This record gives sequence, C-alpha cells and structure tokens, in this order.
Amino acid sequence: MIDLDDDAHTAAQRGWGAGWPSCDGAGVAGLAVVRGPVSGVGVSVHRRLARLVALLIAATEERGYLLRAGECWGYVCRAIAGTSAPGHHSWGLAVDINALSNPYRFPRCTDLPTWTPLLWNRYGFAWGGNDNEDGQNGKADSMHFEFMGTPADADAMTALALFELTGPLAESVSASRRKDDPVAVIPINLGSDGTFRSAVMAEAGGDSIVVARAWITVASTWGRTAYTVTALDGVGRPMTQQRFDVPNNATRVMELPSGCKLVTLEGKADPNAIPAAALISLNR
Amino acid sequence: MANVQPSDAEVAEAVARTGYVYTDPIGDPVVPGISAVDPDRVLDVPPPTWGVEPTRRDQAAMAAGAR
Repeated sequence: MIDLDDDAHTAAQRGWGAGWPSCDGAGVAGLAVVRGPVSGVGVSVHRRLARLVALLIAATEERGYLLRAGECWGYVCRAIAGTSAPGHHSWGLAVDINALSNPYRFPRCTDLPTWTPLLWNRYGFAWGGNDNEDGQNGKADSMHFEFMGTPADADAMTALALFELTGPLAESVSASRRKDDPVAVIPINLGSDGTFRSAVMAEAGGDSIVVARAWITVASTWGRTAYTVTALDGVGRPMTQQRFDVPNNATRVMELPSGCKLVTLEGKADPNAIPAAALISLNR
Repeated sequence: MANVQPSDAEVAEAVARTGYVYTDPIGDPVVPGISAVDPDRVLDVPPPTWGVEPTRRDQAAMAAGAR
C-alpha cells in the first residue's frame, strides 16, 4: 500500500529521476497533457502517470466537479519558492486543481466535494488539504494532489483505476457517472457531560441493492471530540471499530466494510466543542 | 486514509484482470484525453507570485532531500 503520509522520501528517492533544476525525471520520460472530458481543461504530467491522472480527472468531472481554465496546473520545472530545493511539480507528479477556490490557506478553504480527495487517495494521491488542518504548522494546500508511489506503483494504480473506473465493475457501480451521491447528516445530541451516542442505518456493499460503498466522516469544531465508530452487520455483530481523537476544526474518515448495515457513534466532546458527523454513500 | 486505499489483493486482481503494462499513453483509445505537449502552446503554470512560502510538504521534501 502506498504511504500517503510519506514525506521522508522525495520523488527522486522513489525512482522518478531528477526534479528541478534539470527536471530530467519528467524530461527523459516525457510529458503528456491530460484534458478533462467535460471542461476541456488540460494539465501536464509525467507520461507514465498520464493514464491514471486522465482516469481520475474523468471520474471527477463525470461526477460533477469540473476543472476551471487558468486555475489548474501540473508540471512546472521550478524550485520551491524562495529555496534551491526542487518543487513537487518539477517531476510532473502533482496537479493543482481549481486554485482560486482551493487556496493555500488556514482555515482550510475548499469547494471540493468530500468524495474527491477520497477518490484520489484511493489511487495513491495525497491531498494537500489534509495538511495542517489544525493550523499548527502552517496552512492547508487544498488545490494540491500528489502521487506518492513509485513508477511501478503508478502502473499498479493505473490498472486498478482501469478496472474500477472504466471496466465492467464501473458499469455495475456507475460510480464515475454519478453527479450526486447522497450525504446524510448524523444527529448527535450531547449529554450534560459532553457524552453522546448515536446510530445510523448505513448499508455498504454486500447484498445492498442500492449502496456500493459508504464512508462515515466525523468532525469537531470549537474544541476536540473523541469518537468510537462501530460498523455492525445485519444481525448486529460488530464488523470493525475505530477510535478517532478529532482536534479542533478537523475531520476524519472511515470507510465502512462491505456488508455493513448499521453504524453506531459514541464519544465525548470537550466543553464547548461541537461534534458533527455524516454518512456518505456511493450508490450502485 | 488507509481505509480508503486498496488492499494488496484488490490491486493484484486489477493487475491480473486488466493485464495493464505501461506503454506510451498518447492517443490511447482506451483512456482518451491524453495528448503530447504542443511546443507552440505555453502550458498553464502557476503565476510567478504563486507559492511565496514553502508548504508543509515542501518543508518535508527539503528535509528528505537533505538526508
């Protein structure tokens, strides 16, 4: 599995050749321009990554989020601003999407639907919007998606995307052709001591005739909230359980296991903290 | 994001089912929308004033590159 949080290795150390100043990594392999099928907006990327980026941009646009001209960038042979270190874009492995509405800022500001980072995460791209969401070390870079794997990983993720986004599986799930998938807010009522218990019907995969995949997102604002999220099957047996200690103004995501029917949320919010949770479904 | 990412088995199945091996993607009818860079057309790049400070990823990359 590609480590999306692996900042300890540069793209050169992952086998992509040299970045700035020679930019030979992308120069030798070549660049390609990938255009959104709806918007026609293009970004340039490393040729070996082009199919994967094309599949992801197509899935993103076909589900209703369009790239906007003049706000999307890929390959740039530059140093990091104010330094002599190669920029991430100098390998052609990163794209910035709709920069004006997804600026480099704290608090995080984005118009990306929740599914967008999850879609790109699945195929090995880290999302800059997950960086510094607590504001303690800078700002979130919501426009930025960056491939975190090796060239061999790029091929494997391309195969996965071909299989899931364009093959027979995609036609049965029709994930890439949907504009809107349902989001349900999960009500959370705090007790006087800040504790809460809640439950939501949450089908995911298995024999569900409606829902292919589903995620629970939990958040906290005005303070920290601790959650325990438990996925149950059709007879109430726990399938998986995760604990999240969510800082102020942060979110966490959990994909529900196939066959899930019910989810419970329990936890405790700090004084003055306000928790929030939602169920996101990807329908068949 | 570990719960979003595919398992090794899912990836292996996709590789086996698609038989995907990298080839030049320009003009691929299976994955349309990929073209060569037009030398006469300037690529969209961030404005020079963009990114006046290193992001957290930039800082980590600088640290990684220095090792």
